[in-house]
Amino acid sequence: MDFEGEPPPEEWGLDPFFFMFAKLYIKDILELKPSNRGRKIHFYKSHPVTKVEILGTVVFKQDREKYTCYGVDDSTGVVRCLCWKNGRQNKVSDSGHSTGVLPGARQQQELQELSTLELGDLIRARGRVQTYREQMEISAYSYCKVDDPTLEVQISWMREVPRLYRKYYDKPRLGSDAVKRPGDTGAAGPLTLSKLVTLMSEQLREFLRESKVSTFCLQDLETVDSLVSVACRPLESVSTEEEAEIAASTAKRVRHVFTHATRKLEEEGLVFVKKYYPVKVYQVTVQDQELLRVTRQIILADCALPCNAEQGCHFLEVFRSVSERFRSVNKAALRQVLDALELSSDIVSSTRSHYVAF
Amino acid sequence: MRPCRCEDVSGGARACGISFCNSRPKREVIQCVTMLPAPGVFHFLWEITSGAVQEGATVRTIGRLACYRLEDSEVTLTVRHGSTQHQLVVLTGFVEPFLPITGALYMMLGECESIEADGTTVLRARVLNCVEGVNLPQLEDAVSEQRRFFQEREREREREREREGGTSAPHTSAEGPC
Repeated sequence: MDFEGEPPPEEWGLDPFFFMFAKLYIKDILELKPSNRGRKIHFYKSHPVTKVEILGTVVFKQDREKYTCYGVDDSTGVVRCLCWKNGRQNKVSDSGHSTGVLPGARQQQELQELSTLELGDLIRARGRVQTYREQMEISAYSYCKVDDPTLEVQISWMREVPRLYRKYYDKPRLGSDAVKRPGDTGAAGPLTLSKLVTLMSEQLREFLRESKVSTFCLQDLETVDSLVSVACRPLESVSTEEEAEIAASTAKRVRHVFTHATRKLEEEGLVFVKKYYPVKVYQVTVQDQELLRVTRQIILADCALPCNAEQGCHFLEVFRSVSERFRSVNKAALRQVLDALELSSDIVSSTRSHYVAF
Repeated sequence: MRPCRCEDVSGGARACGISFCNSRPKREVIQCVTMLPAPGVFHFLWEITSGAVQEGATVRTIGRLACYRLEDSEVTLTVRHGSTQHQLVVLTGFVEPFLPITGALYMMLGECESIEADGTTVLRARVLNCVEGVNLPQLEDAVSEQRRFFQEREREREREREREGGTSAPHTSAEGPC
């Protein structure tokens, strides 16, 4: 993004704002920033705004030959709204009636009444925003007088607009830098021990996926050059004495980083401890064929029970049975196993927590 | 070239003398075109009588028509809030003739003309509409919702300013428009 916070033109069309009639407060319309690239595009908090819809009271009227200029006040600001008079540009729409091919005299009179507004009338206008002599104004594509004797329309507008702002207008564009991507290690900033551990866990995940390794122990990881080089990166900032001690010795740092990164993957369920003695051996969850086979058998057996005939067996039931056989498999690891089985169509999930095997 | 927006002086002739011009619109037109009134911020009647509004400010409010004095072009709007009856005098010179229905709810938009020594506020209406049948509790809810939104927004902006500037710049924030 160049032009300090303005998205590039190729991204404007990706934002729904570009095409819609935004229901902005008139105060915000008056404060819209013109783009550095041209006066036809304006921005509201990095959203490109071309068209708006306003609802307000007419507090100013100026009749000209080709257009009428109404000053519209919605209690946050007053803006000029140009309502063109010639037939091509002016589409006077009243709520629900169709004008038909040849409007009769009565309909024409009604249209005339709807298109002529006086001070104090409520106007709803949809149009393009433009700058004229450094002031914002709206050139209406369509406008009409709103009949609102009990203020219902104005009340629902007052309720709707803050909701739109909170839900859509004040949120950053999807895909913009302001929306943080998941798994963002926050690469900006000094490299601390915890950031290094996070980085390592991601590297390890990639490595296990690519190499299709089934079992490994921590000593094996120390033979992989790519992983060791990441672990040996010098730390830029330390916060505790313990961290400083670890940072000082390369061997300690490498061991610490590998241990914690593997623990993180264990918590996520990607690996589990297969053997504790004589040395801790980790097993990549989805590579353990024994575990997959046993899980499938358990689900098959449980589904045969009459109570599970309808929906299948619940995740917790499966977990209880599996953890009797494989003690170090946690819930996250079991989810990985069930996902792998579903991917190979051995089981089907009937609901979010129920599984059926055939 | 674009169609001239200079003032029509007489019978189709333009103030600049030609039909199409890129020249700036004439001075008197600039004044006309830019002189829009200030926005009418909504205030409840009891807020106006308790002095929340300054002289000259544009307000929008709602109240019941208690009496109409045609010779003085004055109307008294009243509203009951809690256990007190609040009332306000509104000058109707600009909106006459209108149909006065005693006891009906009216919405007015206008300027605060003066605040008397004894505290009574006099407003001059530019717009006076009968809104009998309005759901007052719903209107109060909607107005409070809008005010809450503007207050949150103002707080958010102050926090951002503090984060960027380090020191919070002193600024008089007018209460959020509603």
